[in-house]
This record gives sequence, structure tokens and C-alpha cells, in this order.
Amino acid sequence: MEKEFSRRSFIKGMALGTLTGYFAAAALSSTVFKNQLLPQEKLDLTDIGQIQGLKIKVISETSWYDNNVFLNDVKGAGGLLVNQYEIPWTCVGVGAGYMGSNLGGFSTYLEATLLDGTVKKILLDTGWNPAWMEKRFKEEGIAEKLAKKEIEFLVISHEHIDHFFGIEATTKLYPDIPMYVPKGFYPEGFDLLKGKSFPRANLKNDYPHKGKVTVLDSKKVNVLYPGIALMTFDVPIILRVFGEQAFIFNVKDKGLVLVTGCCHMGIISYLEAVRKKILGGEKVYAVQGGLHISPFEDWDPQYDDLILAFNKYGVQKIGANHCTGYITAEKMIKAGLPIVKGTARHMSKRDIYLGNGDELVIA
Amino acid sequence: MAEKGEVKESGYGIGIIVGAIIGIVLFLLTFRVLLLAK
Repeated sequence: MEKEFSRRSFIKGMALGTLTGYFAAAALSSTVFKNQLLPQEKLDLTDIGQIQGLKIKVISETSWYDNNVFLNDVKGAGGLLVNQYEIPWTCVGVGAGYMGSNLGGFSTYLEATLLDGTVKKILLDTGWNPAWMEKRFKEEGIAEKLAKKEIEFLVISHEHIDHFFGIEATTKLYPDIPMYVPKGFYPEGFDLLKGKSFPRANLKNDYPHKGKVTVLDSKKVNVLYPGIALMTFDVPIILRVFGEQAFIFNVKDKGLVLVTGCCHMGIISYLEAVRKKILGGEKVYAVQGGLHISPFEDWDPQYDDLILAFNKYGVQKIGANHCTGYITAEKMIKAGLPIVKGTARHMSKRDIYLGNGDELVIA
Repeated sequence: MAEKGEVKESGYGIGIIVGAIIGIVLFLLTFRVLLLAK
């Protein structure tokens, strides 16, 4: 049999070969040879140093007492995008509330022991209802520490009602307490600090703040002391708030401990930001605070994926509370996540997670 | 089957090989231009 070179066959073969070669190269380069071909992620890691140990005390995680009353306040004012300083929040006649008020608040006390043995006392957030916060401050010995100026500074995680509106509970006892706020604070927030009232929101501050206020932005990791840092996130938040900051502690022999207010940036975004910006960020030992998943006890199937993703980070202690939501805690426990139980005291409704007066000690 | 004396066309196989090389080179070029361009 005689063979004759055919230009037609050659071109047909070449067309098929080109397509096959192109897609095969694409497939291999994105899988088998991914690491050789794709540029490595450039990480700008900050070494924040180390501390010996950390004590986290939940002063109040109960921001409000009746979800329906809270949601009706928001709906009545026009929805979740309305300015929080213009919403008439319900302060009377709530059966489940504190002395009839639906307002509670969020505040956490932190005690970090540096490597040289010095103890740094920090207050994260100042709650909402001054009467409730004063009571909780007294019950947990925070009032005394504030009056004696033993607390180094007050960090406001974000400007939300339940984290910031109770400012006079702190300034009444320690008017010149140094403060750190995230970039994005609105003029009303600074006015409230100076003593301005917002009658429509049932909000006042009879004890103007007289200390230094430092605004932190997201450009860099802000190391406050060796082993203690704050990260700011440029995130738009409901009720016309912008920006949130959260703590990173690096506890010797344990790893990083992340302490949040509400975590509106999302827990996965927070963990990823820590991994990309903090030396040792791949080993997060514990997470504490609000994780903002189901604050109104509603559930969306996408939250199941969030729990699956969170589980992959191998966090060994989760002291979640506040806006994490009870449904989320139940699902996390079911998924095998190490949720630290609480004691359901001081108006915290359930012991499924850390509640008011509960402690998490990392040392 | 081809009978004796029948002429069979060839070139398809070599075309595939040449084409595959072109395909890979094309991919690498586009990869470089699209993904690695600064």
C-alpha cells in the first residue's frame, strides 16, 4: 500500500491537535503545575510579639432583650439602612427587658499579661443602656477599675448602638479614659462623646469624654503592646455605621486569640486577614466574641457553608456569644466545633455559649 | 482494507502532534499575556 502525504489530513490533524494542546495545557497548568506556574501570594506579615496569658470576661453580651421589639423599632423607623441616631429605641414597657427597657449592651473586659509580667487591662465596648452597664460594671468590679484609672484604654469595636451608645457608663467613672475607635466613625459619634444628646434615639451623654481619641485605619496592623494588636476593617454595616476593629492577641505556646465585638467583616474574612497579615496567622488558637451569623435567630442555608468553612481553620476554643445566635451555636456544636459553654446568668438566656459574667482564660 | 496499489492519505498524525505543540505554545503565550501581565 502506498502512502501519500495529504495537506488536507495534516491541517485537520493540526486543528484538532491545537485545540487539544491548548485545553490540555490549560487544565494541567491550573492543577498539576499550579504551584510552578502561578505566582506565589505575597504576604506582608507583621510580628506583633507575644503575651504570657489572656483573661477574657464577658461583662454583657445581651444587647437587647426582645428581638421583636428591636426589629419593630427598626422597621417603624424605615428599615436597616436608617441612621441609628434617629431611631426611637424602645426604653419602656418591655416585659423581658431590664427595668422595662429593651436596651442592654455589649462589653468585654480583657486582662493581658505581657512577657515581663505587666498586666494590661482593657475594656472592649461600653454597651448601650447606661443603667444596665453601670450595674454590670459594678457586679464585675469594672466600675472600681475605671474609677481608679486602672484600665489602660477603651476600644470601641464599631459605632453600633449596643457597643457605643452607653458611653456615659464609662465616662462617668473615668472621663479621660484613652479611646481607640475605627476609621469611619460618624460626626454624631464624636458629638455624643462630647456630650451631645439625641432625644429621638433616647440617647444622651451627661459625662463628656475628656481624654484622647485615636482613630485607627485599615492601612496597617496596629500593635498596641507586644502581643496585643488591633485590625481595622473598612466594612459598611447596617443602621448607617462604617468600619469595625477587632483584637489579635498572640499568647505564648498557644497561638493567636481573636477577640471581636460583632465581626461584621465576617469570621472567614477576619481569619483570612489575620493569616495574610499576622506572623503566625495560620494558627488561630481561639476566637471570642460576636460572630454575627444569626443574630435574629433566622437561618439561611449559606450559613451551613460558613460553619463548614470555619471548621477547616482548626480553632481550638470558640467563646462565641452575642450576635452569633443560638441557632448558629447549636449547628456549630453539631458540626464538632469547640464552643465554650456558659452559665446563663445575669440575663443571658442560655448556657450554650459564653454569657454575662463568664470567663475564658488562655494561658 | 486498502487494496494493493491503492494510495492512502497520510499526515493526520503528524498534524495532531504539530497542532498540540502549537496549542501548548499558544496557551502559554496567552497565559503570560493575560495572567502575568503587570
